Amino acid sequence: CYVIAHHKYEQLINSHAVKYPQSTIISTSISISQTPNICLIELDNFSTATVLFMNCTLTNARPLQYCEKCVTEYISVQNSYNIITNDEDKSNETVGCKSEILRSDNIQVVLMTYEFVTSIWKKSNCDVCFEKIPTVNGSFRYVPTNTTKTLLRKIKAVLLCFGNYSKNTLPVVHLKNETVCNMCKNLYCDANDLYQSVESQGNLCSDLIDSMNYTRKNWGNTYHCTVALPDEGEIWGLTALVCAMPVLLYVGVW
Amino acid sequence: QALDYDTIENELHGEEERKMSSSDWKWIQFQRWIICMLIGIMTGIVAVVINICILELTAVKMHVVEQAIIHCVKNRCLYVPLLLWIAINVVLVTVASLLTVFVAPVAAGSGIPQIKCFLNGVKVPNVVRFKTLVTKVIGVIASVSGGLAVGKEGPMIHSGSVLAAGISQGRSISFNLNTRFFKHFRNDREKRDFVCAGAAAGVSAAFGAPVGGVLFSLEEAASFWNQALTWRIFLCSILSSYTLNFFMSIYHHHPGDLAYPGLINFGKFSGSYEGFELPIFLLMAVFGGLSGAAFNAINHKITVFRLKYLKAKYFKVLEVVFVAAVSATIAFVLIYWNPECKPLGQDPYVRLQFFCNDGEYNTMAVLFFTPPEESVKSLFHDPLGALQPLTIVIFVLPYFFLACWTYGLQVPSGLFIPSLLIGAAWGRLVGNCVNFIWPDDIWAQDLSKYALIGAAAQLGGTVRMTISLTVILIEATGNITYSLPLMAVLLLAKWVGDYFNHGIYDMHIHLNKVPILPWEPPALSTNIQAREVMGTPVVTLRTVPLVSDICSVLSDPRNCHSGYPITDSEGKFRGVILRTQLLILLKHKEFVERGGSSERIKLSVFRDSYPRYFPLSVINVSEGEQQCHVDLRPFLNPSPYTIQENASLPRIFRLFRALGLRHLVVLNDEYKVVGMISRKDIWKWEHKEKQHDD
Repeated sequence: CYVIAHHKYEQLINSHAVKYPQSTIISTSISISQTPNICLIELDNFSTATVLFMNCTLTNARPLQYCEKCVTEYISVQNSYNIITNDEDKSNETVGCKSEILRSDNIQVVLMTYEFVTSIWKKSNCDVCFEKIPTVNGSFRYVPTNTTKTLLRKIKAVLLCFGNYSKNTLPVVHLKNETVCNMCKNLYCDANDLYQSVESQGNLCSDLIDSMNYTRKNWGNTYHCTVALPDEGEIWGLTALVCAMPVLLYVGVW
Repeated sequence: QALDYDTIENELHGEEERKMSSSDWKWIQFQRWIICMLIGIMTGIVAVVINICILELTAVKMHVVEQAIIHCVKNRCLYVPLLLWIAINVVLVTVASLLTVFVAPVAAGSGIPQIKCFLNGVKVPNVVRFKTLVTKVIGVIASVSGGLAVGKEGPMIHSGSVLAAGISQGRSISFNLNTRFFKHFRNDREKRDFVCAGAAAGVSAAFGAPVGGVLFSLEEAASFWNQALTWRIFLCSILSSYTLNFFMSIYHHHPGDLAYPGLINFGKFSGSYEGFELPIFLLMAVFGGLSGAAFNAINHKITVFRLKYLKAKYFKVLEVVFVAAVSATIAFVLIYWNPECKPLGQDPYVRLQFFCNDGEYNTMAVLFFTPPEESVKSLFHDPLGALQPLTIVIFVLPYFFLACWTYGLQVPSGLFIPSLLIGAAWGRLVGNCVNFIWPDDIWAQDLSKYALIGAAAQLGGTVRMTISLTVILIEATGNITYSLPLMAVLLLAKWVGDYFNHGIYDMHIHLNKVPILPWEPPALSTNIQAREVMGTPVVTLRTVPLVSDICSVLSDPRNCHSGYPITDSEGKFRGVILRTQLLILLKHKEFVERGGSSERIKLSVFRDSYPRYFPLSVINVSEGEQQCHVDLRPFLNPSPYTIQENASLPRIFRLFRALGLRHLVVLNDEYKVVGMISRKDIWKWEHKEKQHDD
């Protein structure tokens, strides 16, 4: 059996043009006999969960909302992975699905995939937007924190306001959109202040950062509402005065 | 004035050694190790204090100004934060300059020139005194957090040296504190070894570069060196570096994580570059040399002007105050002017919004509204698009002149950080150009290596240090793969710079007319003989002279030498006695007529009066005592270094340089004393030649 398999692999490598039916290349009989069924099921669960998570994340990548929308999928990835890692015999490490699935080859694709998923979650700082509440059976439930909810609600209100009031006005490029600016000022400032206070505590996940950035971009670049007028006179006067002092000193001593 | 790096092997010395058992000897050797450890730890602690104070003060200052700016952008009152900024800077810097001008003027500047002189054997008054340390530490904290274009690394080296000198003596005269410990080390020779260790510890704490510290001591004091000392100094600098590490890890809430090396931390570099980038690096080195030479030339002019016209003390303080005000104003105006905004999210150190939209920050504020170390880091590590080339150009030009103007003020100020900052800025510009030419190549995406090479080139072109600077930079980047480009760049920058003028430290030493001896004897001087260089006529004393003779010799201002040759009645040369020894003998009235030999004066008496000797005027010698005799024979150094009068200048030079001599007796064919050569004679001769050439 081995010899045939090897032979066929060699042929496969040497002559790409030759196509073998799938069943002859992958000798399924071997893997079935070596990997217990229960492990295949665990692997299958993990695979499904991961696929769902990736699918969810990518669909919610723009506008960035995957922390909020994909938390269930993330938890199921975690759970299915935990089932795999906990499935081992403490006395004999070679028994159990952990070593079978995670450690039996040198690529460790399951581990890589898991790390990829967690790195997305970590890099987006998603955890800070949720509260982990322990449930009865020992696992955790992820609930959005109150600040997250409030902030999202406020941002949504601002965006809604933008939408409502910009409909009636013609888009004017590079000019302040007076209606939008006046009508939404309070809402915007409210959201901005809350955002800044949450930011100083470091409790921002990428959902919040992204939606606030989007709001701010609208406010500043689309409707041109932040126009700070520089006050020229005093600054120039002071600068001239300060720069004149050393010159006076040097001329004086010279 | 010079230091005595030669042991006086007189009868007293021999006597003391006879009494000493071998275990005493071992104990003294062991004490050296203890002192080195103490120096390392104390230097580290001082570095921690400086670092934390600056961090905290800057944070408070930035916070106050930032709040005012946020308030005033809305309410159109931006002159308020400007005034506030100026006021804070001026107050802090005034503290620094008042201390420097009125307490310890020697603490001004980076202190590296002074330490260089000290290790070379020149006595710089007050250079290793406790009040200098206090001024240095408080001054550097105030001037760095006061927003001057200065760094805290150079002063660290001076601080380490002062600590070393203080600890090794086991006492402080300022505090009238005298312990029983370390009495054996109270002379110039021992002190110098420990000051070497202290300087190394300072470098090591400043840059997190222990090996660089050892090499710094080696480079600056290379003539007096031995292997055992190297090993001790290495221990000292490692301890200093890790003491800083340890306390900074506590400060950053990761106690025990020893990964916070150095006052400045360059951060992590990728460490990869392509071979074909070396020519670009070399071109940058040439530019660095030119720019460093320009820096030195401008600073030279400014320093000459200061030495000539700014003599009154309050003018000096006033100048510092004005520079502080101008620094703040320039920073503010440039931030105010800068139209460049970038969206938040790349996590810069400060996020000053100013006129930008919400969620954006002013790019100029990243460079100006931070401690200089953080600006250097931003220039090194910020991603490609974070800083626009125009912003960097507008930043680097005023900063160059500001740094140039600031160095040499009467405040403790380091030059490393400003140089690194200027270099990193234009290095980054070069990186931007390279990226513009080859926008798609992977190797052209990493600006940090260009910033690093620029920083190295600028620093090398300014200070012209060689081996120690290379190693310091390699250690600070933590990346051995950059050693080849760094070495090449520093070498080339030094050569290019040397074509125009001297390094900035040598320049300042030269301007202060300090008789420092360079590494090598003057070129083409083999035909110069001792008799052309020596000082004549020479003042000699007899072996048992009259007190009145000694007094007249000592009080004569014309022969204010530090040592006098002793001749016997036939005019034969017997040895040398130091001025300070004579003074002590007079003070203790060691006269033959008093039967002094019954209880002879001990060597420890000489040690105890070190290093502050009293002037002649405090010694009262009565009329009767004038006619007494002093027996100098037990005290004089019977076998000092002598030289024939036809010896060549390079030979004399090497004796001075290698042995750290202070004076050399010149003998003629009949072994009679014909002259004395002091360190100053050599220096004067060299100087005279240069003037002839010009």
